[in-house]
Amino acid sequence: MLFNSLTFIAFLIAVVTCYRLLENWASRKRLLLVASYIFYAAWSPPYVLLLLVSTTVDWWLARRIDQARKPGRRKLLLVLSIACNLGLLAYFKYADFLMTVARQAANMIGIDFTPIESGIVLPLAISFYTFASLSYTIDVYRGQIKAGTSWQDYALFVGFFPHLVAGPIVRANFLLPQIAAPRLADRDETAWGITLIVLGLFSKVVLSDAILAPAVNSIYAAPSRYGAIDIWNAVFSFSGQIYFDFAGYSLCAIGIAKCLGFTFPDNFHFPYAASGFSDFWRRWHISLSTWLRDYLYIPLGGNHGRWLAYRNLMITMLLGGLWHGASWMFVAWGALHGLYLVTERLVTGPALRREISPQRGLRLVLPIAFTFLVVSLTWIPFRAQTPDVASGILAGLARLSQPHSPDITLLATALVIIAMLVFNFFVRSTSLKALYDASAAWARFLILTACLCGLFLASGGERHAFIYFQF
Amino acid sequence: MRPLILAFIACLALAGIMEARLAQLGYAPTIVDGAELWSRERMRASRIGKNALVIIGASRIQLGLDMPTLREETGQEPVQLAVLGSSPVTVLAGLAADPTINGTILVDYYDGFAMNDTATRYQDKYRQKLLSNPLLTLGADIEDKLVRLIRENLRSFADGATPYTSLQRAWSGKPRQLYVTTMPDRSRRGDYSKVPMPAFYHANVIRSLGFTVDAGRADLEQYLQAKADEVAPVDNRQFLKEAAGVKEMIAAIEKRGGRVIFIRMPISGLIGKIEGRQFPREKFWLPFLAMVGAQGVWTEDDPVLAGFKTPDGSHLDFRDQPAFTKRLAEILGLSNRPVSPHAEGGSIR
Repeated sequence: MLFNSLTFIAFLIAVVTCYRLLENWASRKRLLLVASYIFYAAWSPPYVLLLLVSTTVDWWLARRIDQARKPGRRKLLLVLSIACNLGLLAYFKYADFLMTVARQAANMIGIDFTPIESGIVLPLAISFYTFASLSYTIDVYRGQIKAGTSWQDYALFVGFFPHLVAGPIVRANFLLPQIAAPRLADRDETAWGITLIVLGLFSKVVLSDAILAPAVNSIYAAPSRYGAIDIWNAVFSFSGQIYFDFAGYSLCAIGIAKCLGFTFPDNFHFPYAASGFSDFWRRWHISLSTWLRDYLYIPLGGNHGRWLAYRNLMITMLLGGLWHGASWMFVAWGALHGLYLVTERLVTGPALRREISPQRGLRLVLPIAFTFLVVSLTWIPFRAQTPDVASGILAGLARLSQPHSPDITLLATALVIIAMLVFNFFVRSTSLKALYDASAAWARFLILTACLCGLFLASGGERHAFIYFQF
Repeated sequence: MRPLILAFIACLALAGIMEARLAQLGYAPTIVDGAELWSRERMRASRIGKNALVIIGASRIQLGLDMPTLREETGQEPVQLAVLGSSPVTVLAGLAADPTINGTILVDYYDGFAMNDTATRYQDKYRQKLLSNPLLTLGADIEDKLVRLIRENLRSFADGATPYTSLQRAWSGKPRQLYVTTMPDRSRRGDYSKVPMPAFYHANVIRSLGFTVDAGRADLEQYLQAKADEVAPVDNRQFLKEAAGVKEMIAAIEKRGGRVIFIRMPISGLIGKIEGRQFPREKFWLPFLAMVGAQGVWTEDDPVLAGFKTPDGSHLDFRDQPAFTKRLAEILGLSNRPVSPHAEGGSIR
């Protein structure tokens, strides 16, 4: 059930209506849990069992960790929880990839090894809910939260449908307290929630799918046919496509949760206004980058020791790349970002940690433009499914020839990208909520009308799943 | 909350104004003919079983037969499974492999059995639906129903358009140009009074000849006539080789008590001439029928059916559909009514 489907809109209206009609908080929570499992089952009913087992195992292990007094036993139980979660992830997401790597390695040393086709289907959302669930057992182990929560509350935290499929990765210490206390959205919260859903759907359906995706897809399908103008257009368009797609999804998720009275953390903060790579990662997929920081980078040693910090950064970014998918292309993407972060630290040193103030104004244009350019080029291995396609795109960046794309495509994509960059630049130090609160009623009306009319006009075309569903 | 409510009202108003304007320009809600609808009809063919009158082939039969007339005349339940621009073989193979298909199959005969992507895609979609547990596809099925509900009731989606295209239509103020309407049962109606003649017919002839020509040249009719005279016969060996596979399919259906009838739909003018030269009847139709051992109707052999002309050379106008269908049912021996005296000229074998 995609957020941009009619089924989901009908489902959401039904859930919100029933939720408001019920008076008892326990009944409301039960409704949300059942609705979340129906939402997940709409993709594949059998995999609901996997979600159920994963949830129950982590909930049970966390209680055992909490009750255990001996440090060794606590550690053992934590390792068991990590092994269960990463084991599931490794089996469903990386088994085929690891087999392929093993076959290539065996063939290199002259051993004929052909693994059988596993036929494993990647369960939707597994990367997201395992990370959410892991945060709970780790936090319990660290003593940051108590494992006193009920199974039902915990299952709702893991499976809560607004964040289940593609985040934001909401942590236990953030959502469980909200689940514990009764809540219902008031008029303003509901209005803000619906506004976020409309903005998110507009980003996804109109900007990403209708305007940018066609330009990207045709060129990545056969890069050798195109010259520099088309290829550069596709590279920048993909930067916009993935941003509007994923940020659009996040806005919808945050908006849906808000309509039910829950608050989710922001997942994007105008990332293309980043004035450096560490700044970029403070603005892009914030819930993943902070998760990796707190549960991987810091446990590895964090910033302690200059060379150790570089190593830790590289490991974190490589694994972050691999989290996106079982492919060397994602590893290459993660490695490049790791390299940029290390280089940035080497070059700028302590300046890295200095908060870049909005007063620096136009002096930020060059660093922002440079960061956007490099980030856009680094999306190439992320978008290209094979090294051949990636090298085809890279080769095309300098191929002089007449553009093949229709003028209207080039114009529309260029306008969207320029508007995105200008908007990101001017609002880089504020938030959508602050902009919304500061805007006049007529401005809200105009923007929402434009978005809704855009959604209506762009409907009826080919429907695309959100890009991050595959991760 | 107020700006939000007003924005929703403004958007609904835009949609309403567009719908009214499109209605004024002659647009009406239409069916979207795709894999989903085809699969639904294919499932219906299986469900009906013995009483099904399954129609397969391409646009000629999809625009040629009137479903209510066929239902009324034969007492059987027609199911339209023809796929635009497609050979019937892919669908026939699927029907032959399905033990629930034991009714009558009307095949739009064409002298070439090249496989077609669209028919294969439809067939694959149907197989997927069939193989999967309905519970597993419940979400997708509900979505399909909701999408259909909207598309089949709004003019903004007429003829497979998106509302954006419809906005351009409404803005330009041009009346509806499309001459083909797809009905909910997948049959189609072609209204050739809506297309510019003879330019439309000439374009069809040029397409049949397989080359490009300046459609504005003064001597176009004579030029096309001369080109049609130059058309050489096609080698029939590959066609007859593939016909052997068709024979097995027919045998499988007949073994279950089913019946397969091939119909060569009417063609006229230069299209008739071109196809007559490319695929001589004695080298294609006659050896094909002899090889597969099925019934066949060459519509032009019947004096009544021969009187139906195809405005674009290869498709009937919707005004002729009922009379054509009635007569065809009579000479096929499917009609409930006594056969009219005109049937004497029929060519059923």
